[in-house]
Amino acid sequence: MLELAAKDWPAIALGALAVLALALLPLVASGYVLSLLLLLYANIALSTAWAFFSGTTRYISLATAAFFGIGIYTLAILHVHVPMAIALLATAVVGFLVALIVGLSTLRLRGVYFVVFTFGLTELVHQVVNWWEMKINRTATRYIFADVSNVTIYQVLLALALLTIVGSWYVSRLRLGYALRAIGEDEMVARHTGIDTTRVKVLCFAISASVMAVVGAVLALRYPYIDASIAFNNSRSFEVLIAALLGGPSRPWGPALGAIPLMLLSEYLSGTFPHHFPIALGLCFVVIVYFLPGGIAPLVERAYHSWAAGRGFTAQLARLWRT
Amino acid sequence: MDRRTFVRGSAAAVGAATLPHVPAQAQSAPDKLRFGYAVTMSGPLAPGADSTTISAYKLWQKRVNDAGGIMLKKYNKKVPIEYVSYDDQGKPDELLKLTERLIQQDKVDMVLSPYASHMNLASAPIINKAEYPVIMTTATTNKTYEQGPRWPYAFWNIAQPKASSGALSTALAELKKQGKIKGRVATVHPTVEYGVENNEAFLAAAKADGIEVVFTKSYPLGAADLQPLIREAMATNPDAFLAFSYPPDTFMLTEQMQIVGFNPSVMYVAIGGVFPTYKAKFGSKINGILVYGPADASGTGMDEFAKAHQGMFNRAYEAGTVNVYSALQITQEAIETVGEIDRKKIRDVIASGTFKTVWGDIKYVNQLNANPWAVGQWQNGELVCLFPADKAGAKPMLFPKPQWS
Amino acid sequence: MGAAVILFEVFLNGLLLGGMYGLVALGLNLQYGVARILNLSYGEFFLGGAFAAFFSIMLWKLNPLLSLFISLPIAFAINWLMYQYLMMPLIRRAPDQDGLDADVVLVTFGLLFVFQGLALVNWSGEVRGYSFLSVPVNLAGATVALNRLAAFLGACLLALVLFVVLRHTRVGGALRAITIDPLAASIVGVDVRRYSALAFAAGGALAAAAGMLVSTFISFSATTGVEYTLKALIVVIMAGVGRVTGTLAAGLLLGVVESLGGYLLDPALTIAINFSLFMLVLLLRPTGLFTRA
Repeated sequence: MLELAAKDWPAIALGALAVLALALLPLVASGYVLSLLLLLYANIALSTAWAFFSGTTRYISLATAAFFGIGIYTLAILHVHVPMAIALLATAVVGFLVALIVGLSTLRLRGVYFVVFTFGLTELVHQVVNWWEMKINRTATRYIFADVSNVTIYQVLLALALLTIVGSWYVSRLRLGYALRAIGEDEMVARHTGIDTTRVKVLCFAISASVMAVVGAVLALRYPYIDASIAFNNSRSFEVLIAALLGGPSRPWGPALGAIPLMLLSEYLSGTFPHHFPIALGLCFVVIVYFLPGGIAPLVERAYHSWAAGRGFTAQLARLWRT
Repeated sequence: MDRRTFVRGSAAAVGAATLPHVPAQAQSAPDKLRFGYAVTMSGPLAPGADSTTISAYKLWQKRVNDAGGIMLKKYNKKVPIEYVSYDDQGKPDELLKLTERLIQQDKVDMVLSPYASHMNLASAPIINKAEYPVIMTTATTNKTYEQGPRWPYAFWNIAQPKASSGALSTALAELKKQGKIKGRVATVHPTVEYGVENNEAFLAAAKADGIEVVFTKSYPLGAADLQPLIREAMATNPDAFLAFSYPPDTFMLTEQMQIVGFNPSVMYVAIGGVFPTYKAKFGSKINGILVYGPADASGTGMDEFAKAHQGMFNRAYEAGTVNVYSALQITQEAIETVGEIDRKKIRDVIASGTFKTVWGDIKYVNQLNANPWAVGQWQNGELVCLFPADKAGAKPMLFPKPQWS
Repeated sequence: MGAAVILFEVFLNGLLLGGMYGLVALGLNLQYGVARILNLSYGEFFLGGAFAAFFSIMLWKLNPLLSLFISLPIAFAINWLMYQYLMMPLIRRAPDQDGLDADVVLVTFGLLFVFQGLALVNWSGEVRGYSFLSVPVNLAGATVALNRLAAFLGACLLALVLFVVLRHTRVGGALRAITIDPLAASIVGVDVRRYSALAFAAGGALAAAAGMLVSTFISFSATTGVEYTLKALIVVIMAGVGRVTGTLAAGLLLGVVESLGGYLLDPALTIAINFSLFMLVLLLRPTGLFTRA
């Protein structure tokens, strides 16, 4: 089931060290760097959660923004009545339940019909929430009364990103992971081999949604107030999709490999071509797709394997130190 | 570090400590003043941001630099302005991060306002904490009353909902008193923050002023057909029709009211009513329509401003640009009064002074513009300012609104 | 005005609105249904048609219909080039339709950014609109706007033309064959690449035509392109991918239900009703209204 060979341990140790460094970064980094990184962690968590379901089963969902926004609203409504931790937990539960209902109702939808349906869902939720707030509460906005520091948000999002990647990797080694991938390969065949495709799909859709809801809620702690157009912004669904596709949606750490360069590229272009940002970014996308079919993850994987294969890991490291 | 370096270093340190103290005046002035802004340059809000905010920033920089720059008394030198700018893509997350980048990374001298109410509000805590005085130019929301006092470094330049909606209610009450209207009002608004808040503010003011609101409904932003809504409003036979609208619906309502022949004697549209493109589309039919946030030619230096704007952008200015430009003028004057970049002193000057600008005389009370132009009207092809009625330059209202010819 | 007449007028308005929805979606159904390219930059060509019409009447004082002489060929040409040089490499290397969709989404998303960026740089500034045929028309006591009526008739005309071409011409036959099964079509000798490029280019031209017609009664700015791509996508999916003539019918249904629903329930819910209907249709007919599942 879960095997870790001796040769994996150095990589894991390095990884743990890196995580520790990131967790301690707030001691030295400026608010800007923290903001940049926490947005990155949020994107990593979102796109990894997205790929957990959509990357494996190939049911491309554009409902990311819907669950993200549901998380924000759940938090906004509850945080004035209950402690923050409970509110965040509730967010995960609400996201899960809503996705469960949505998942169960969309069982017959496939392909692009599923995609556009999920997009429609986001818009519908946006409109209904807007209407409800206005009719019942005579307001369009809700205040966020949170005194949570940027540092705390940074650490929570770092933890979330890691949890999502590790969780996704862990599940991929379980039968559930195999079931997900089997559905992605050929759903009919998967069903005939005895997999309860309905249960697998709906469960994993709901898990992915609940992560998205929590990420939304945590990010919302930084705003003075929220409204439906801030909470339910379709472009977020597209960005998460793009990051995952660029990185490679079929591996647990693929989306992260897409989110990181995307954020760095975005930040660089924003500073260098502020008034032409969309043109520059768009051109980059087009170029990337042509020169990196399959995304970045396969490239990195190939590089890593050709580097580690044939020679021992420590031998490689020793060679590096001597030069 | 080897011994030779250590000795050399120590000698240098001792030498520096024994040099005579150099007086401040002989210090060199900065060769550029760096102003930073993060404004929406892509996504749905971008065109509005460009027309209202960015064009003002660009125009101001050109005119200031053409005159040599901002005068810093401390160094007796004019210093030109350089911008550090970012596209926040219309996302609050990006704006928060970019504002921090401007302040902490780029270490700009001053920060300028973002675009849109929720963006202005979002950046306020950050600029306040870093003690950068910023005049926010595109925020109109009850939150400036509620939260404004927490941020002494944030100033709010345009008419807030109570002021604009209140002015309308007062005007209608006056007309009713004079027997010119029965006092029946229909209101519509998009289901967004601006629409909801202004509508609620109007309902409250109307109740206090004895105006009867016979119809009030909302529509989603981006609705593609408002004719059924107009028909419904028309059926209640109001003498005033107020739309707390955004540009797409401002245009659409105006067009569709003409199609169905809805002719209230008082008509108000909100955002977008002042746009030159609104005038270009409807021509003489806009005569008598009330609008939000006007600017007229009576402000100090408006002639030169209008000419410069036309020269730089090859199009007429929009009232919002005048508002943003006035904030820049105030910022400049405050810096020149203080004589150097001392942001606390600059903040205090803005908070207490009275300034002559292209948008009239401006004074802030508790960081809110004391009496910005709230409601205006198109009269014979010209935009005139009506309310606050006691402000210098206010004109009388044209009543009734002429029939659609 | 009597309540019955108002209701009739609301219904008519819904019909015209629906005609607009169908009109906007026709081109996309050609592009996605026949050429199998989910073009996220579709709305930018819609916008191009709108701007061409705007400049035509506001700058050169010409009838905006004349702008079609410029916008149609340009949109056609650019889309044809896009297909041949940008999409073909992706088609060649894609293992299956899903893989192709992923690549195409990324590339056309990038193109969307580029086109929108160019529009912003060149034509930013506030919303634009112009008055053309902005006069009322009396239809059995109900009032409708002539420009909306004209756009509706334009939609019907285009749908009819497409119907005739698809059913009764050789080109149409080839296009339908490709829609059903490109491999089978190529086996029976259809030049799939050429006809797909044709369909894709025609779709782009239709987008520009729709933009011109709609710009007569709805204001727009450099960034409204995306809205229309998404509106079009909803209608295409609701009708069924490849059901080109069904596109108009689906649009009409959406428009009427939205208009009547908003009037009877709450105008604030019009868009919610629109999406609810769309989602309901999909739940009942998972591959669109007109696709034989």
